[in-house]
Amino acid sequence: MTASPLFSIKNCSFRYGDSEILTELTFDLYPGKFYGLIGPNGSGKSTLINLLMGTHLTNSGKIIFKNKPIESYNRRCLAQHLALVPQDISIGFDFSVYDIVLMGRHPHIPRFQQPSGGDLKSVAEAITLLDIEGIKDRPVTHLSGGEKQRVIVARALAQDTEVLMLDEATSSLDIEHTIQILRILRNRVEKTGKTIIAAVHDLNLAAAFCDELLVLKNKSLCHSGPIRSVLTNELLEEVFSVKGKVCYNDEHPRIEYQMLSS
Amino acid sequence: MVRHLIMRNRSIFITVSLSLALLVSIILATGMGYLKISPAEVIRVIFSNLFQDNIPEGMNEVFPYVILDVRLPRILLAVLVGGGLAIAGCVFQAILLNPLADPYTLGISSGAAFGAAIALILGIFGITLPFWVSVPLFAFIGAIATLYVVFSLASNDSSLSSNTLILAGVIVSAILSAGIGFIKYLADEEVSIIIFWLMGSLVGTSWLDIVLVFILFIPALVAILFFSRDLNIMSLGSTTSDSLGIETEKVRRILLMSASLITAACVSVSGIIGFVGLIIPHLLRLIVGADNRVLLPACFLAGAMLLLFADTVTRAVLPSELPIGVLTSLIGGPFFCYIFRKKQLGAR
Repeated sequence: MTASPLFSIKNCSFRYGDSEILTELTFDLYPGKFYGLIGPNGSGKSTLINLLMGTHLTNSGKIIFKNKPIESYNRRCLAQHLALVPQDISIGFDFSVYDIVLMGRHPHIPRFQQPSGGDLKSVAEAITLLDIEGIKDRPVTHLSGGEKQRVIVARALAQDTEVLMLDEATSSLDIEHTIQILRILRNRVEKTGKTIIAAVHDLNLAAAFCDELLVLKNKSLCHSGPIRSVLTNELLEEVFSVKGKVCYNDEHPRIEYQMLSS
Repeated sequence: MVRHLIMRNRSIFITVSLSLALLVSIILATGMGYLKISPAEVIRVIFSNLFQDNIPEGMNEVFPYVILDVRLPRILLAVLVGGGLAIAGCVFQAILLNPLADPYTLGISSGAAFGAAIALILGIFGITLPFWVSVPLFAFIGAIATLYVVFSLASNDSSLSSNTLILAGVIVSAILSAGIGFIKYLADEEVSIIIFWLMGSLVGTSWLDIVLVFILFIPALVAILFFSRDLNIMSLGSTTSDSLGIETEKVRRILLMSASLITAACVSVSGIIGFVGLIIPHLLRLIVGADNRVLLPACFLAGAMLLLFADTVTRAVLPSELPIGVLTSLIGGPFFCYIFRKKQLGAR
């Protein structure tokens, strides 16, 4: 790898009150890759995403984004580089789908100005891509969980940032839409060289769409690297405490879980 | 592009028509009362006062006095207070992600009232700041202190849950009511000022009140309109607003202070007038949508009209003057129950 890292995480720890959430993380992330962030529940995936977004600050250690400490950027500037699809997407007010997607352009539109033609074009593209054209005038409060999630992904795409982070963004989607969204993201990475960091639960999906995996367990990063080197039978047992077999017959690794105990 | 023009025209249309409606209401209301004055005469008096500074010929000489010194200050104050409370309610609802929030349900009105009651009692005991300084000042301190207490009671970790917040508001209000009760007891014979004032009233408004409210409103309204686009995004939650480049903590603090300042200003001149801040933003969201850039001005205008209507009813229609806070609570209370019930049934 010759390119300079996009993110450089050095000895990062994060505590919430007295409880340690992440300890001594050190790794680099490079541009143009699709990173899958995996690990059991409560292993700190969301926290790590918050740290990378710059919304939480580390208690010790450093996060360098594009050669500068992440805390040295102002929020607006970060929002022009980093977008997030959060886990909690509940919306209490009746904005229309279109308005929500347009909010993705907020960091690019100066105060008191109307969105430019370019802004509206990004919004229109994101809406087409996510196939939410038909519901764009509906109030978001009337959407199903899956529709809402697609709207939020569209907003993040409209934000048009180099890095897109997803915190279990496909958790309430059916398999068709999950695959649709992951394909769109995969395309972004391949065609435009964007970077994606996605916390995913489904290891088979991670294996199919990601380039590299970051594995969190017990508050620290226990493995990281290309799918094939990370995803092994041992990893399943060690990190997720399940027995299973990783098959490498197809294009992508596939996991066969051993569901029934014997 | 076309879509944007339509949306913009629609919002301009709404704002303009509400403004016109408010203007007409002001003129009609000025004419109503014990002494009936026709709209045309009202307009003549106002114009001649603004531009000529003499009494129009051939008119009852009492009219200019009634219009300019008695009715208009009270009517304009109703407009400012109604509009202010509605805007404050709208801001609280958007920031707290809670459609039930308003200055009254959060206890902020009671806090301001408590502060004002202290100022009044200090006045009775002869500790004299000028009246028009001490009441708003104490009301503001009361409002901010209450806001702080309600928040620290309700906050766990980082998120503020709707229901705990309302609950905290109710608890703090109850304590403050007891405090106000104690002050009433201390006030002894002067108690009627405090009581009348707690029930909310616009009786005896002077131009000084208007100037005072206006001065307090301006910085707050400027801040609120300045951050109205940010407020839209903040109403989706802090994770989202952080990721879209908003300094959520800072903006939230500024907006809470602004809305509290408006509330305090309103309470300091008119006492507790409940539920305007709850009903108006709700109804208007149904009509103009959730975009605060349109909603906030519309709330001001509609809140102004509602309170003007209520005040005119108590002043000119009812046989004897009813405290306006009682009237708005009688209308607003059932409405609150309706929203609460709808929310309970999972209509969110």
